[in-house]
Amino acid sequence: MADAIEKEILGVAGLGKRFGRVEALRGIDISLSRPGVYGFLGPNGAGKTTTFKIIAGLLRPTSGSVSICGIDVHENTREAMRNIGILFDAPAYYPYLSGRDNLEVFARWSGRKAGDGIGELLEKVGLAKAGTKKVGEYSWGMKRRLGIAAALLGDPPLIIMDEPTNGLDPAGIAEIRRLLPELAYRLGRVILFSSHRMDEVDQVCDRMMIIKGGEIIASGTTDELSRAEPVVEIVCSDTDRAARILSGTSGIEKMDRTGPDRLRILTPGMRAAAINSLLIEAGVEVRQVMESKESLEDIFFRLTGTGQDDQ
Amino acid sequence: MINDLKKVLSAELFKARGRKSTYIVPAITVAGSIIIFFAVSYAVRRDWIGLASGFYISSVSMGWIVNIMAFLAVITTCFEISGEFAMGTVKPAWTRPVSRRSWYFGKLLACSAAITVLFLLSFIAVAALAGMKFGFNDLMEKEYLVHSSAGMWGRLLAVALLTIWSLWATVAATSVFAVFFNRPGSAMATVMAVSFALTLLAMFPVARPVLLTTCLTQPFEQMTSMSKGLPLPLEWGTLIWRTAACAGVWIVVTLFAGSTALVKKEITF
Repeated sequence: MADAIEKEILGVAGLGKRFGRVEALRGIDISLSRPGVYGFLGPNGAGKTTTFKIIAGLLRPTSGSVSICGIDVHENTREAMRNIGILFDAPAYYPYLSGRDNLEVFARWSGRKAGDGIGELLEKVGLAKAGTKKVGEYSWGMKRRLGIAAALLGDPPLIIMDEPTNGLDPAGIAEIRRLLPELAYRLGRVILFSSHRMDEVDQVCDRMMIIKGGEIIASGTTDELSRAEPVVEIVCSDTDRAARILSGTSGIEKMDRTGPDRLRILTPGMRAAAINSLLIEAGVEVRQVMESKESLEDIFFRLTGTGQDDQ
Repeated sequence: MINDLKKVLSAELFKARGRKSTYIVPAITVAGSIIIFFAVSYAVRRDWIGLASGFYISSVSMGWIVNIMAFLAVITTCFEISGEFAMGTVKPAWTRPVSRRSWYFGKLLACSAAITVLFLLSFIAVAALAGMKFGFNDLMEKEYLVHSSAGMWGRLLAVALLTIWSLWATVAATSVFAVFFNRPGSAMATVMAVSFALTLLAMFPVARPVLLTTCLTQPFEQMTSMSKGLPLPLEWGTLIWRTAACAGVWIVVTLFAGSTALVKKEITF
């Protein structure tokens, strides 16, 4: 059992990909062995989907290699695909077939018996009743649920999900957030998933990798990636004035207005007490001052150098 | 490979069950074949063409129907291959434990099977009607037996088999274009343009024997001549080996080209 846990489920070494003159990926290294939920974050165009497509064997790398359970994806795609389940960002189905029949087609490609576990999967993703409806009549959220069921078909040890909660209603999102840890810790699966929702990644991921410009620029837990210095959040009467005063102060790295009376300040050089004194001396009524750790969102924007508008 | 082909064929069969076109296309094909049969019969009765014999009317009708079959082979192949790219369903297909070559060969087998069924339905419909209305009799010139009924039946069946073989070659040749294009419409338009160019090439006698269009049309043209008692354009042996070899070469070359292109294809969408 120990050997099984330590066996490398996904190994990506020195992965590079060029599209003409554009270098989409540069030296991507990933090694996942232990069951868990791993986040893959990056701004649009950073190379997340390209990485996933190379892992899935849909694109060939310009350099480097990918192995799944020790099987090279590009030398033995057929065998490697036994060990992976994938949900793509825009899952596609046969619209003239029902959800159940689409899963049946996927199961037949995998050489599985007709109806093998399909009912349970549909139930797991909340499509038990809608399973007999034609996929052409499904909403976007239902299609994503079906995509998740398709990724789980055959119980693969590695599951890749490209923005699994995109387009889901709050109940669907909550269901996925519950499902991912269950798959990872109860069933021992390795789950690699990308998302634009930092709160979601923070909530369900053990570790995360941040990709920018085709390179992984950081990886680790939120604690490992966050800085030692706290983030200061202040609630005051006049945020415009407070912002003017603080912007002229050295040591303030970033300042965001997070509400009508709130400022969030990234300041490696100043602590909360110093900011409080500064504002009180300037005559700004400060109602509350809080110190907190850097959030994943702060980490992401700091590391990728992107603003929220870029997302 | 055999196991993978079984998986792909099983999935294709399952998908076909759920498609309306699986039931509509054969019905339209049979109806179209019957219309062509009656049009040819009418022309014969009015003495515009040929003679009132089951063999002659079957041959002329099937000669027309072969063109429709070739068109159906192009449409079916383009939708089966390019259609998967257009819908995006190639992504879940290629991330299953089935090799791309098996997926490709499985698709072509399914297309070939479908077109064979359509051809046989047309052939049976036309032959049955021709038999009922005109009979499959010996071809006599006064007291002299030109061709016996049994001999013509043998040739008619051989011609049908050669045409089926050539339709498989059409499926294989179309698949090369279908692999390159991510939209069935683009693939079909290109196949049509290439077919047109090949038809122009048919003006040159040197090129004619190696063209796929010749493989498709020549067998029933030969049968038409035979059933009318005219001199044959080719010896039967020559026609059979030439058509079989020509279509065979088309199949081998295009399967190699198509499968190689498919294995190298990258899914960027």
